[in-house]
Amino acid sequence: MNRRKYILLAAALVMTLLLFQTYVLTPKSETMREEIQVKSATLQKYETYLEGSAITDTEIRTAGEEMKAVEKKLVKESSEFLAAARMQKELSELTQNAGLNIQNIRPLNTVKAKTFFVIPVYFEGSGTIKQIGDFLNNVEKHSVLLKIEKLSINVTNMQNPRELRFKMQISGLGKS
Amino acid sequence: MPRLLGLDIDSKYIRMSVADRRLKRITYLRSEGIGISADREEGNKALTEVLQLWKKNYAPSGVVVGLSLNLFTCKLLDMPAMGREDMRKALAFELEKHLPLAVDEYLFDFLMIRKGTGMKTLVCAIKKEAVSAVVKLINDVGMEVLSVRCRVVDVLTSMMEISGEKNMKGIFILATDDGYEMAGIEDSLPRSMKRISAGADLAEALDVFRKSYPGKIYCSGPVDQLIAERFAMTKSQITVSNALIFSFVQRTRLNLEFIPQELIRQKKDLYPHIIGGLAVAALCLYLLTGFVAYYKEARALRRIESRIETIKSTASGVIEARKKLEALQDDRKTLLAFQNSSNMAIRVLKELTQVVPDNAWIINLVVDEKGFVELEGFSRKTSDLIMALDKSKLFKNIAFAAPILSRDGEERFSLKFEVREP
Repeated sequence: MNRRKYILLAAALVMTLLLFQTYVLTPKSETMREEIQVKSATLQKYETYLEGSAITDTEIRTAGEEMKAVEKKLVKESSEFLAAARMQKELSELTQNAGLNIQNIRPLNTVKAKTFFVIPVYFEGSGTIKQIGDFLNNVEKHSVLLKIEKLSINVTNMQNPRELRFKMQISGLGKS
Repeated sequence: MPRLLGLDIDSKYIRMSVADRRLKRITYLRSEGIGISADREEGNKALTEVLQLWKKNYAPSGVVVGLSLNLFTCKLLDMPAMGREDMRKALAFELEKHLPLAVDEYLFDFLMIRKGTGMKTLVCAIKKEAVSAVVKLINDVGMEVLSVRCRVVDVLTSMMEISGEKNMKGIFILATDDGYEMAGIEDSLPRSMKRISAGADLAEALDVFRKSYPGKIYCSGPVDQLIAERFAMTKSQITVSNALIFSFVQRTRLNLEFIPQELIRQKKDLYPHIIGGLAVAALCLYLLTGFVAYYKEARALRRIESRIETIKSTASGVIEARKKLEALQDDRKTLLAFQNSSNMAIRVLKELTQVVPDNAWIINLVVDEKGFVELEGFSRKTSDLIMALDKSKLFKNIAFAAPILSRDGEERFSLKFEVREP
């Protein structure tokens, strides 16, 4: 083999190595670097677990008991659709009991929150300040945990300031 | 480490020295003089045998040959000032006037001495056939000739080194087997060289020569004691073969070289090789960096994975329990966040009921899930309302949402503020 062939062979080898490095090694290295970061964090977490392993059982028991107490206040329906229907029903009853005049009520799209889902219901209507106060009082004391997301109260007719118009968005929490 | 053989071929003796060379350092190992027959063929035979013996014993890498002055033609020429290469070309024409044969049949070298605007040039020329005969003889033994030199110049060089004089002036005499080789010196440079036979009157020759080159007289080799005393000669016993090696290695300004061009060992041009080598090294380094980085990362990942596996296998129960606990804590956090913010609107209403002054009444109230409140209404003095809101621990960042409109002693206000985090 003459010198030129050797040079061509060497150049081809170098090019192959360069291409291999650019298109195979470098991307793999980057992926690996990311993987290292993730796994390092996991390892660190596991090591922390091991260090505090003695208190784990007690903590789980306490957390479990606390959760059970709070979970009783969640909307227990098996699906999001049924949960929305249940929310609508509960709120209709509450407004009815308070004597509020509801003009419009509609459940909104549920929102995922980790292992839970939030079921918002929007409604608007009118009533006196006493009726609204009663309603809010009932909402606060209700067996299902309800959250008033938005509240808007205004006097629409200055001649009759006792008549208030309100808009509310109230949410319940369900477990997925 | 290259080993050099210095070879001085005189009429009755061959003098040889062998020395090791490391860069410019010389370590002399052995010197010896061997008598040879006056008959040329027998002399050559004896020289061949001696060279073979030394080759066997010392294996020198090359031979530095010193030749007698009687083989040389030396002329001091006046030349215009020019560079060394130009001078060599010019001398090729100039020497035609001074040499009996065509210049092509000679090998010549020269020393340049600047004098005014011109150059005094001492040219020494030797017949190519004389050099070729010696070179062939040495090559036949299987040794390489590295240099062919004029021995008197090399011995003079050593004499200058020994004397330590910065400005030598006078005459230098090298006593040989069959005569004296003399050099007239000015400014530590030979200006003229001549040889007289052993039978001639050295004292007379010196008297004549001294008129042209006054100063001290230096000599090396066996010179008659009476003559030496008469001229107060500075004597040094310099081994010619050692001087040849010294001059060849040191390359002083008296360096004269008469080796045929075709025998000069071409210096390998290392520059492209060095550049090529560095380029290859850089490329290798670049490639290696990628591979090393990949290898290190793969190793680190393997180590982490194996550690995780070890922990998982030894403490899977703990990990599962922890995961469960984390999940529970996460759920609890979400629930508590939901619960804590569930009655924010009620708290706002309750607080407003307590803080809003009797002379103010609200016509519009908006509370959103982020804790932003908008309040609109009428008051006799809005500033009283603002003061009251500001005093409340539940509200912060109270500001006007619109300008106050005053009418019939009543102010219509529009305020906005935020609910403080519990």
